[in-house]
Amino acid sequence: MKREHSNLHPQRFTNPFSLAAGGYSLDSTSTGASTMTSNNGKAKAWEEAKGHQADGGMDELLAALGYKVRSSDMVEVAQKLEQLEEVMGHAQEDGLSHLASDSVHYNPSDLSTWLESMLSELNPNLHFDPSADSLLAPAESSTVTSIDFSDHKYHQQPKLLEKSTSSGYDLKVIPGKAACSQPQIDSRESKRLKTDLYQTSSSSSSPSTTLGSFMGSAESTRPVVLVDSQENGVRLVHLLMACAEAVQEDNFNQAEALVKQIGFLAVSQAGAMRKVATYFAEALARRIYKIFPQNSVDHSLSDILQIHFYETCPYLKFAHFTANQAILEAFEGKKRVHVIDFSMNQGMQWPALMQALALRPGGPPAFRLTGIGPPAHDNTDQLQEVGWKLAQLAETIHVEFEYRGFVANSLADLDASMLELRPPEVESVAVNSVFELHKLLAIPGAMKKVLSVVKQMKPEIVTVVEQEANHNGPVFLDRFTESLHYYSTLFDSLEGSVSTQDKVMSEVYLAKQICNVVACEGHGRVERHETLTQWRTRLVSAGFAPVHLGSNAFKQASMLLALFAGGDGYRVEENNGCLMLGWHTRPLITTSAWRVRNHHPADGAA
Amino acid sequence: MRDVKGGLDPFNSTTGYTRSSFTSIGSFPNAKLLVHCVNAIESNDDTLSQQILWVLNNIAPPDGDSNQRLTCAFLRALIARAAKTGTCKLLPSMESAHCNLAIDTHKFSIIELASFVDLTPWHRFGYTAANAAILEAVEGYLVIHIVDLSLTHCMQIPTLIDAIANRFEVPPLIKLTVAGAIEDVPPLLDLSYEELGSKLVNFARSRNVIMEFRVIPSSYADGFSSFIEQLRVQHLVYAESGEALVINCHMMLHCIPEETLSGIHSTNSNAYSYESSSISSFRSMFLKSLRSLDPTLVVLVDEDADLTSNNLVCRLRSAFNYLWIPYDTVDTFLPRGSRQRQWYEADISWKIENVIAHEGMQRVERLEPKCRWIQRVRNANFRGISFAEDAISEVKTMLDEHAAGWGLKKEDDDIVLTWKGHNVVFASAWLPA
Repeated sequence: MKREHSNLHPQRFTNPFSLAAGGYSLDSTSTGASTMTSNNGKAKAWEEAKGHQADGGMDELLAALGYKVRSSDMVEVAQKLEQLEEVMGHAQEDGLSHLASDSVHYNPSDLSTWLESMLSELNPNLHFDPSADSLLAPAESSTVTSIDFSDHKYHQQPKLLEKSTSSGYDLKVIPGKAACSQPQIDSRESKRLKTDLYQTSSSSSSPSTTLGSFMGSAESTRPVVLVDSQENGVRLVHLLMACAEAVQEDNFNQAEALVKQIGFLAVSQAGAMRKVATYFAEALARRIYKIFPQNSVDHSLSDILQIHFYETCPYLKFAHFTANQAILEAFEGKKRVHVIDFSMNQGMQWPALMQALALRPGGPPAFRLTGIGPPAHDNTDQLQEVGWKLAQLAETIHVEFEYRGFVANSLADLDASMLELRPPEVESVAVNSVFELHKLLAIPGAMKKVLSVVKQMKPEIVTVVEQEANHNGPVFLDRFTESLHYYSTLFDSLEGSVSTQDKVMSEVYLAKQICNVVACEGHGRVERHETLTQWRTRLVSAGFAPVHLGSNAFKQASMLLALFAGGDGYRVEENNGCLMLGWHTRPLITTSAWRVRNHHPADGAA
Repeated sequence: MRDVKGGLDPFNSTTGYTRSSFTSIGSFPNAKLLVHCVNAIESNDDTLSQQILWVLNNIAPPDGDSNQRLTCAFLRALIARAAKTGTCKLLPSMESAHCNLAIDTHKFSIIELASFVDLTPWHRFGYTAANAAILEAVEGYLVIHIVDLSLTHCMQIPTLIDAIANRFEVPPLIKLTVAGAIEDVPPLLDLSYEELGSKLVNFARSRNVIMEFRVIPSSYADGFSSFIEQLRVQHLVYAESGEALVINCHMMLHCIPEETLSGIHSTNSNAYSYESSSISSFRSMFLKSLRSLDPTLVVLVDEDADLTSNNLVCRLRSAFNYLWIPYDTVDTFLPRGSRQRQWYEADISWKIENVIAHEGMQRVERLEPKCRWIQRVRNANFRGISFAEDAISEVKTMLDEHAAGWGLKKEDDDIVLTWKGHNVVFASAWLPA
């Protein structure tokens, strides 16, 4: 067992908060006294600490497993999770009884049932037996992937339109909440359907035991609930880190043992902490048991989850407002404009821009939109449907509108010649990408190709929104730690949202990312978020120059946040002309704007 | 010069306020979008509210053309409203978000205010018409008691003193009583009414007119009932003493609560008492108590619009349909970027915010259209009198000093100031019936 812990952090031992509040055995022993002053001493002290706690029987589990953790990371995560828990503790006065009553539920509300069924229908492997063996032998269920989600979507379509027209408001043409209420019913139906199909392949007929299956029966988890939850909070983080480290070392027996313990502990927690831990545990379990989610089949589900994410919290709205701001300003005075959208989805970004163009001084330009999206698994032409709705809006607000939807498995399949571009002096182009570019990092050479195609489009502006995190480092444990930080903060920010349904859906939306970051590798790992600094380096070296998002964009984003975010934790900050939205001190997403360096005459020859 | 058509005509003024006409305002997209925004805010649709606010922010720069500045003022008012209601709990963070919603209303010095009201016929129209009517009515009286209920801080009075000094060989004694309203409604004055009074008394003395000045602290929130009460208690009004009593109401009465704000039955602010005609408002009660003073003349000048609806959308439409006028006119008398223009537009913004963002007693900009006022005054047992020919010609002469869009319209006994054919301010004169 290796014991080199070069990353031990003095803070771990000197932070009185974690000592007192955590009450965790690692801290409460003599390590506190041997406060580290030199790097040399740390590792030793750590070993001592482990010895102590093992001797004292304070945490035989961890000692027995002999796990090693990077405590510098753990401290922060633990504190974060403690904060979360505190927040939740206040919110739920009846914390314990609440926990006891639904302690085996995967998600914190009864909505979890149908949500899970949705997920598991698309990824049937999720429904596994409590025993690991069945997890490793999911073959019989792997064929059951044909849930007709698109069918439901198709049926709900007329209703969406009905709602949007009856509301009498133009911007509503694109479904927001309208699209969200519908699938609930549909999915309940599909759940029933699915259960029938499923009974032969899965012994677990209860859809709520995804996590429970790691832990055994509901009864066996209940005693854990009574353990002090703060202490468990710290232990939970330790366990997550230990498990990730075991995974990193390919020590899967140990990892498996740990992930089960995580399940035990997670249910003793409240709110965001439990959810984050649970989702990370699930992702670790997937990695351990090599059950990977199938990304290709669930775009329609992703869309619906994204709509809820859009409604629940300000991140996507912020992305759209800030990107649109840059686009609107770049299009000022242009007669024909063309947006090429790498992230079309439900087209939610465009009604506001079209409305603003329609009313801009001097009259609206001709507006052309090229929406790019992945193929729908059922061959419905969702991109066309979205375009049709946008065309209706355009007609209402008297904007000349031209639309094309492009189905592409990857942006890397795109060529500028496909887009029927007009000369830049005729038509100004904006390229827009929200949470898309990082996916290209999974395919060697794809980013380079796409950036060169973008340059061929001769865009007036390129708007890029990306997660502000590095989840693409070469070392698994680093990615794990980073993402644990990142999603803890995100889940924390979601806690304030009003609608439970929206919140749960948003959590599932994020959970899919967590799963991808933690469980997947190679081409399958597409959530390769990188930081603004990394993007800047990449884009600058690819021949792009930054465009400052104006103070106007900052003020507006701040104002809209202040008015509607529903909590004062959100912060907009400006970083070298880019805008970041974060929760408290942690930036979470970044909008940046770019132009091609030698395209702009002001830049001279390049 | 009158009835110059064109310019902004946001709503077809003949369409009234029905739901169906409402959808036809597409010809004026900014107003349409404002209405959508109101609907979104009122229905707590945060996503839609945010989207429309974003659009409005981008199409209505505060330094744009008059239409854009008008939209911007409404937008600010909507933001102020959203900041107070709905899901927003975040006024402090609004400030940290650099969205200072506070409107910087200027405190005028007397000189500033005097030259300010001279810029446009908005106030001068009423001054001129009222003064002409007063001069005619007080002919032969040795003592003239003028009760000035005006939002413009006696700016009308120096001209009146001047006219009296010129007209009468032996000038009468002028007793001027003003309502020192405790509420702050623009334009704001940077000195106290006592100081203002002594300046007016000095001015009168310079014209060989003796004047007594008196301030009675009062509030329009109670329909000036304490004001009227003080007039009686202090025996300031002698109906039988041969003293002329002139009540000059200049754009102040619209601050008195009317039926949609039932102050009398204010236990439940939603219980608007239209159902019973027997329940009267502070507004009607005030007019009745005026009548009981048996005045020699009542002049009522006010803005001709309806901003009383409890339906925010109706109010917004109505306000937009009226308040485009001050924005449209400002280009004719104040250059862009001038400080006076900032003051002027800040005061309109204040008005818009008051109409849109406030409710209940805070909402004092409760304009009623001319026809409704006339009905009220008649119900209080007054009869209207026509303005004399020379009053009208004086108003016309005054209008000649201003831009071509201004006009004068005679409607029955009353006269109406118009801008490009749209009613702006009406003036009416009344005697006890």
